[in-house]
Order: sequence, then C-alpha cells, then structure tokens
Amino acid sequence: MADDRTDEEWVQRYLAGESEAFDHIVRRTQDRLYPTVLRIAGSREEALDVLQETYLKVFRNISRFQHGCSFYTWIYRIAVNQAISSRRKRRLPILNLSRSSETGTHEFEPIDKDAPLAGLEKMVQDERVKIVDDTLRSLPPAWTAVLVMCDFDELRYDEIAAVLDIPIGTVRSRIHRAREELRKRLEPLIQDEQEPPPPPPPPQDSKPGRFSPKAGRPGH
Amino acid sequence: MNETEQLSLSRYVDGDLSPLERKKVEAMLDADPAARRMMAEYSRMSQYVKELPRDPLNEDLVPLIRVTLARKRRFATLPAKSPLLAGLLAASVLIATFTISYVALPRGSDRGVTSVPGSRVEITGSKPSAVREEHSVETTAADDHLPPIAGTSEIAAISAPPESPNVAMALSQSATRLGEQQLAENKVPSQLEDRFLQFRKATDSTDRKHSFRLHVPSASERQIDSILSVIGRFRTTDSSVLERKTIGENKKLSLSFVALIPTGRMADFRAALRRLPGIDVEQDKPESFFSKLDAGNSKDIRFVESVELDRATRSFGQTPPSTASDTAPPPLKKSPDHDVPDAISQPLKVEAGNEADSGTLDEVTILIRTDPLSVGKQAPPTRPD
Repeated sequence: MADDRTDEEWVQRYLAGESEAFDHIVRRTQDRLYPTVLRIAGSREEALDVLQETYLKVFRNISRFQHGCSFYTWIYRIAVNQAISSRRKRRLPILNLSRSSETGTHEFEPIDKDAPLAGLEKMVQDERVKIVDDTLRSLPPAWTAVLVMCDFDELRYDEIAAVLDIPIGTVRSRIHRAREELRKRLEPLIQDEQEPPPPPPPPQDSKPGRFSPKAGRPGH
Repeated sequence: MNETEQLSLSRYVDGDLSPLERKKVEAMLDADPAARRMMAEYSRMSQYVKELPRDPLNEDLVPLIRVTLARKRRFATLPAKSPLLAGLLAASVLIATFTISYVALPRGSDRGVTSVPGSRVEITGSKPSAVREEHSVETTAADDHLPPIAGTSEIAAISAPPESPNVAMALSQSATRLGEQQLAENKVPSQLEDRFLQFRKATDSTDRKHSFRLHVPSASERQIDSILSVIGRFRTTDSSVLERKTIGENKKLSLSFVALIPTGRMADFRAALRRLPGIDVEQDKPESFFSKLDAGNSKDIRFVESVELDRATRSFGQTPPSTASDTAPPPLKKSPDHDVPDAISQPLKVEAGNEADSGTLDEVTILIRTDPLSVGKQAPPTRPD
C-alpha cells in the first residue's frame, strides 16, 4: 500500500498517541540513512549499531522536534553525528595503500577464490571502489564525514555546516584538507589509471542541495 | 600554488564559489597547468566518492528498536524505592583480553604473506559463561548487537566468577553503593537510564565473548595487518581498543587490544584466522586472568579501573561521595571540533593503567555487569509508545 504521508505527518501521529507510527518512521528512514551511515561508520555492523542508537535518541527526543522543520534533516543530523562519534571510539588499523599496491593485491579482504569470474572491467571497477572506500574510512572520522556528505550525499557546504553545527568556513577547509589527503593516499591509484581525468565541472552558482532549495539549518 | 588557491580549486569543484571568485579561478586554470592538474584530481576524488555504491540495508530495524525500547520502558517503570534497586548495579566481572604481540621482520625482508614459514598464532581463551546462556530468556532474530531480554533468572548471573571472589566482591560493593546512592536521591537520571541500555548491550555481549591471548612470535607486518583486518571484522563495537606500539629499536612490536567477539561468531573468527596464509593457529587453551591474579602475577596485568556509565557514575570504582551534593557529575568530555547533539554516548569504559610494568603485553579489561532489568518483574516485549 502506497504511503503518501510525509515523515512529519507520521511524527505527528506518533506524538498523538499512535505508537505504531514509530515503526513507520523507522521504516521510512532506515534505508535512506543506512548508506550514509555505512560510509562514515565503516562497516555494516557499526552502521547498524549507529542506526539503532540514532532511533533511540529520536525516540527519546521526538517531543523536542520542532514542527515545520524537516524530520529527515533532523534525524540525518543525529545519525551522522552518531556515526562520527562511533568512529572516534574505535581505532581502525590504518590501511597502507602504498604497501598493498606493491604486490598488486589488496589484503584487507581475503580473496574469494570461489567467486565467479567477472569481467575485467567489473573487477577493476570493484577494486577501485574498494580501495576508495577503504581509504575514505582511513581518514579521520570528521574528514570522512564531510566528504561523504559533500560528495556521496551531495549536500551543500551550508547544509553540512548545519548538520555538524560548525561554521561554514570550517566546512570549507575541512573538505579541502580531507580531499587533499584522499588525493595523496590515492596517488598510486591515480597513477595507475590510464584514462584521462574527468572534465572540469560546468560552472554553477551552487549545488542544488539535498535538504532544501535554499540554505538553512536543517531541522531547526 | 598556495593553499588558498588549492582551497579555491576544491570549492570550485563543489560549486561553492561566488561568480567573482569563480572567474578568478578560471583565469588561474587558463594560465597554470599545475592548477588544471590539481583541479582535475580534486574533481576525480569527488567523483570517486560519488561512485561509491549505496548499499541497501536489507534488514528491518523495527524489531530491534522495539525490543530495546521495550527494555527501556520496563526499566523506567521500576519502582523507584524498591529495595531490589540496590541490586541494580550488582556486578560481575568479565574479562576480555586480547593481546597480540609480535616481532616484525625488517621491512622489505618479507613482502609475501606466505613467505614467513613457521609463523604461528597461539590462541588461548576461556570458555564462555554457560550460566549466561542458560538464562537468556529471549533473543532477537538475526542480530548479534541486540542483547536478549533479561529475565529475573539472570540475577543468578550477576555474580562474580568463582575464580575472582575478591575482585568481584569489591566491585560489587562499590556498584551497590552507587545504586543505593541513586536510590537515596530517588532519581535515576535519564542519561543513566540510557547508559544502562548501552551498558547492558555491552555486557550482554560480554557473556558471548572470550578471554583470549593471541601471540605471534614471528610475523611480517602484512601478516599482522591481515590478522587485524580479521579482528576488525568480528569484534563488537563496544569497548574495543586497538593499539599498536613499537617497543625498542629492534622492531619488536606489540599490538594489544581489548575486544569483544560474539560467541556466536567465534567459530567463524577462528576459521578466518586459520585461513590466513602462512599462519598456523594452535588449539585453544583455557586461560584465566584470575588464575594469574591468584598466582601473584598481577603486576603483569594492567587494569582498567574506570567504567564510564554516565556523568553521575564517572568516578565508578572510587569511593562514592557521602552526600548528594557531592555527586555533581563532572562535565562531559567534549570533542574540540565536534559534538554529538544531545551527546550522552560516552565511551563505555576508559582505560586507566595502574602503573603496570611498561613492558607488559597484557591488556585486561574489567567490565562491570549491571542488569537493572533483572530486578523487576519479567514483562513481555512491548511496543514503543
């Protein structure tokens, strides 16, 4: 059955005493949040933990949600910050891409010899995705988060600033430093790639943004 | 090209420049090949991240959330002055010890994972608590993260392991005093409630983890990295500490960590270790931290004394203050550049070495088991409301 109610309407129903509405809230948002949380948290296990904590916080604080704001923006903010916090509590082994690339293998995952042989192009693409993913996760959590929000979720700088509650200038410098570090760590990959670099992006005034057509503090 | 110009290029890629700034950057791109190359690489970095797959969740989190919220609700409805609340913080001690020590071969001497014959990983560990498994009342399907709902029978599990009467008793007394203090104030802070949930989650996974020591007398860095990657895949999220040290100039390295591995995944964990090429895993041997302690080898062991439950219990393990006015919690630790909104998710535990020998390779974590739910009546799972 199609669900044509908005997130905010489900929140209203939940606050009005319809307890099943919370299930709808979870199911409406979990699939949207998961890819972002996964990229920041670094693993499915961590991402599931982060999502669970996120919903517990939402449950506890939902009465504080301000009507007229975007519920998804609000929960996205909680989830991203929870994912960053989760990453900070862990200390993942640092992937040394240069060392791995010396032998041409990527040692983080054992090679699955039983996997069906895929096309060469697909294998190269998969390998690149894995290297980029691992390298992204090896960055400091705050840097991973801004790149994920900027490039993966295509948020504008002002939206990222609102999610993290930091000045936009900090977002600019953090994205730049993160991207520069990513570039340095992926240098072997860049050198390996034979294809010409992608063309520069067309001039544009600003990204359309994901949360809203205009800048604003999500959720509040 | 200076950093300001690089920053402008990065912002150009993201469309963050004003029209005037954009013209300046485009003029720079026209004039400077290095700028063009840099911009192309930034653009490529952006594209790489854009192309990462949006993996589907393929799981409904609602049952997970429901059970956790049901537990929270039952906890919130506990009678505030019930004498049983004094047992709220009754403790048991469980240990997870993971230590990997190894001597790394000189870099360059071994690049192949299989090129170090005789490398050996020795795993010693204690068996999981049978008591806990017997008293699990309910488990959630297909999820290792969510603890089973506690029943009153789990009170039986809130006791010290037989090997550790002294330690457990001291911890239990300390915890009980803390519980009584909360009781005397006739309040259970919401943060504490939440911390109990998290704590419960960790301690529930505690009953499903083992005490281990991994010892790799001779291995290459690649092998150690491989082991690390396996551990990283299997350990649970709470109370994991990973540390890699270089000791001395002889490249002797030690890697120590405290990790919780769900018992349900232990077989897979061992199998994954055994699959690592060039590493032979010995049979498990029982190893008890407490037998070490009883044998007077405590100086080999570094304790983790502090357990962070929440602000009110941050000084856990120390003598509790005698008056309510003394219980003002210290401020939450805050990250310099980032705070979680409504941040209550502090680390479940912190390490506080007790002047252990610097050369020790052992890491011991003492986790305090609290089971607030087990002191109330068993209630069926309820919906969040």
